[in-house]
Amino acid sequence: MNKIYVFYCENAKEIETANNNIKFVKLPCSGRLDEIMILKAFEDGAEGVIVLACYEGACKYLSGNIKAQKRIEYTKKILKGVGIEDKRLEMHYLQANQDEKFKEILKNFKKTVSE
Amino acid sequence: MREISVSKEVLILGSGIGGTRVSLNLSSSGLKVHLLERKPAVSCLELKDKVKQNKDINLITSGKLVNLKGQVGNFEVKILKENEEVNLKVGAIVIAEKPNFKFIKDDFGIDLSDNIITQSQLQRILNPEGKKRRDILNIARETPDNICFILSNASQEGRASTVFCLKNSLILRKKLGSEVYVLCKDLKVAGDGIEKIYRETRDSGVVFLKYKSIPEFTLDKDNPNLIIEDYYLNKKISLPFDLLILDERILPDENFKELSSILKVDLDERGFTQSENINLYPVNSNRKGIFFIENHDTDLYLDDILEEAQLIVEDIFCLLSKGKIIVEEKVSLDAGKCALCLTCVRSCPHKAIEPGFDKEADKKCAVIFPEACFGCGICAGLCPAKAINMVE
Repeated sequence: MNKIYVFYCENAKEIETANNNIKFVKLPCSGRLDEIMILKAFEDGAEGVIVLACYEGACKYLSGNIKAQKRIEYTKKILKGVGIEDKRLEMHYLQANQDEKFKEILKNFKKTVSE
Repeated sequence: MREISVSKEVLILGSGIGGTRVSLNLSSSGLKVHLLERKPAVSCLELKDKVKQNKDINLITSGKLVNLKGQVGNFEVKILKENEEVNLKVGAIVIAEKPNFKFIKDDFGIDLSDNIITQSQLQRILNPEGKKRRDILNIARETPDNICFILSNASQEGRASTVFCLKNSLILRKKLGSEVYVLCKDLKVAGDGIEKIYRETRDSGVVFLKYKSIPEFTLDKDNPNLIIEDYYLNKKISLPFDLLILDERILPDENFKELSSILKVDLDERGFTQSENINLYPVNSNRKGIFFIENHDTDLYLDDILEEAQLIVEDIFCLLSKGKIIVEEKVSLDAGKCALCLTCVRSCPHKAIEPGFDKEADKKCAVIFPEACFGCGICAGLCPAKAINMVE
């Protein structure tokens, strides 16, 4: 079974709790994201990690989403070093009313992870 | 939970219509107001006397802000007035500096002269308190028969120039009875009452023409002409004019840059103070307790400024009226782990972290001010020593 972690900014997505194999982690802003959070998710046995942030220029805290992007690029390098493919970590921009887009992202991500 | 006492005084920078309106409303709600103006006199003529008579307003003219310390509720401000230092302790700051109206030659390709003037020059002539009232007749020696307004593409982003143009053309049409033409590409009439002004202007006999590109001018001394390519007729029309009124661009004041570095507030790419972010209210800055009014280019006409003034007054009243605020700590800092690398000080979007001293650990470390913190957690994510944690 695919176990997927979703880190989401509370301004970018509706608040959601557990959903069979998907674990949702709410963040006050995507800038709160830490490398250790992502690495611990993989340690916990995650098949993949999705990070959802607000669109550029729409961050409530001005530059949190840009900071998150930089951290994710850095984390991908670490993942490569320990032998995890970087396709297992994805970042997407979302708005709170784009639930359909989130479902599509999840569907595509499940496909890429199970390949 | 912690109680923090706040100062019941407010500093307002700039005495335009926005600044004076905010200071009058705040003083009537029981707060003390310091009104700081760079120039020697109050720039809003209508409310000048009211401000001077009010006892709760401390007017400081020809003064300059030089330094700011502290956080919301307890800002320590240093003002330089004629080589004299004035130190104040204020709870909130309102920036009411006006942007500049500037004529740019490249927009039209002609120079200004006696019968080619800008919108703000016209405004000064039409102002009932201005001394140059009769100049408009002197410009064209007698009542101008044909008056042309041109709205350029560059200034179409905001509604202000459109509203000025509509109102002034109506006044000229009614008072002088001359033929008035408005040449424009698009006319933005969205907003309270603007469409009504537009209809009134149209009904009074002002002619609106839509052009394809900026008109060409033939500037003879006896009969100056302009040639426009009409959008609907699809052919060139020659139009004689006695008075030509050109549009200006709204540009940020040079003072904004200096102010933003003193107050540590962000400027957007164009140099205006209010960025277009859907999560921010139009009057709020990135720091708590610092507000903006009147210094963006989109809504510069009176109704919107008054609405913004009311918003600011309500916000400040909620913040300061009780003399204390109750704050909750959203992040906690472990002083023992802090190495004072200043990563959090640099990255905090609200400038709520400052280098300081911790008494319990007896060492220098970063200090988080809960009254200015929004709880975004960016500092917690970035701290290399993991000294900052979010409070559950």
